[in-house]
Amino acid sequence: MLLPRSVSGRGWLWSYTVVHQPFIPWLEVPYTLGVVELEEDLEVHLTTQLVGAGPEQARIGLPVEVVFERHGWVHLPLFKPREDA
Amino acid sequence: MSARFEDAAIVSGIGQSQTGRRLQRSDLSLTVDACRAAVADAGLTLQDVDGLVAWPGEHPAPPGFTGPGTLRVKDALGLDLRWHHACVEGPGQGAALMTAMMAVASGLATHVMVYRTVTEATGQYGGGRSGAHPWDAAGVPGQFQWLRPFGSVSAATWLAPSFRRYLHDYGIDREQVGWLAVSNRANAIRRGRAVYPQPLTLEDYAGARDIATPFRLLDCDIPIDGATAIIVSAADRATDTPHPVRFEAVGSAVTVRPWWDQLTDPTAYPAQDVGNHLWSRTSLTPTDVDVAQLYDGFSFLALVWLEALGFCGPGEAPGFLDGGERTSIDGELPLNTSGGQLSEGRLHGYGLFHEACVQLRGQAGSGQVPDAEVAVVGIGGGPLGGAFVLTR
Repeated sequence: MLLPRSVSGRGWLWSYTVVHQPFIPWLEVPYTLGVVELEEDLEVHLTTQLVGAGPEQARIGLPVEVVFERHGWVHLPLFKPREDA
Repeated sequence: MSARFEDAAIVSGIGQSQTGRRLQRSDLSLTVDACRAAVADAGLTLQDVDGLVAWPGEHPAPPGFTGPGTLRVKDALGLDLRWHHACVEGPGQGAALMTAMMAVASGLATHVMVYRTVTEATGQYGGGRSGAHPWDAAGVPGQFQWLRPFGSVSAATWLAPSFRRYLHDYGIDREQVGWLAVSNRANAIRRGRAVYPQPLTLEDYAGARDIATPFRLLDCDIPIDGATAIIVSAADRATDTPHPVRFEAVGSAVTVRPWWDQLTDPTAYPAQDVGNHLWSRTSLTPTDVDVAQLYDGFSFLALVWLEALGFCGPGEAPGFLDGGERTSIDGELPLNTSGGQLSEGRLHGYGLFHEACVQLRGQAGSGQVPDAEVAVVGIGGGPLGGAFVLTR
């Protein structure tokens, strides 16, 4: 059963894609989308943006941590490479 | 085995409208053409049709995606219906066909028209896809609230991470995957079905521009306009059908978590459950299949289907495609014989189903698989998946 639980905000890049096609007007290409697996449970994934790193730094297994980007009352969980990466 | 609903239904007729890029025709007009063609093909009249099922029905979506809902088509064709239905959820786009089978197996209807219409090429004309989604004004619903706000806004971006992980986990030569695009194009040209009639080479594939890495342009299907109609009839009431195609089995199961991104095994989509379910409902096996039509909205999805349906083992699909011989018209598993969505264009699974029927009826001309008796159709990608074994 799924229940809310606090997590560390740390994880790894399960995989990623660098988006080149301008599907939407509100994001400049290229941008890097990651699928992050959480440290607490590798079966819980978040689709997110990789920030603070260029596409060339993305790799499967990259250690990442959360940074929140505020949009009004919504805080989007984005991920950046960890200091120890 | 107890009574199987597959035995109670047949495909009695198939029809297709004009198809192609930017036809600038209405979705209703194309749908009416396809339905009239299917009725004539079945030797029926519109007065005989008492069921109507579509995928996905009308809902807020980018221009050209949904096609007309059943009520508009009922009114346009003047049908007297005992059953009608359209719903975006279910075991893939083929769920509409399964619903029609249930309607005739239950005795509720006798001849059910099933259709899928897309006008995405015309819908994207001018403004392109950019900014055209109604969700961006009204709010993102359901599962997509976890994807779209981050910029994951297309099946290309939902699937690309799994494709990368698949290539990584199995150590696959990425360029082998290009054989699917090359073979499909040759098949489409042979049948006169190619949206773009130039032959493709592996060099073309390798040099195509990036869409969402590792997907390049030639890993992605071609948005087109077109409607396909399939008539599903009660087997015991359609005894004088000129070209019957029989349902041997369906696969409609889902046990895995049905999302785009919650996989640890990059091929653990519902297609795997569908494959197991499909073969559990027939004594036939993958080696009995004469021709396969597998959903290739993206190259990776055809790889998933090849493995999920047991035509090769995990991580073996690119090797299976390599060189193109095994999947050619006279190979061990002729695949996507009218070009698939990569070359015939995106009719959202219904072009593939239509072609399976054409092959079983022996009407594929120079692209005919000799003596085709058993066809498999796998439709859908990501959380959507359903499959059929058809026989003549």
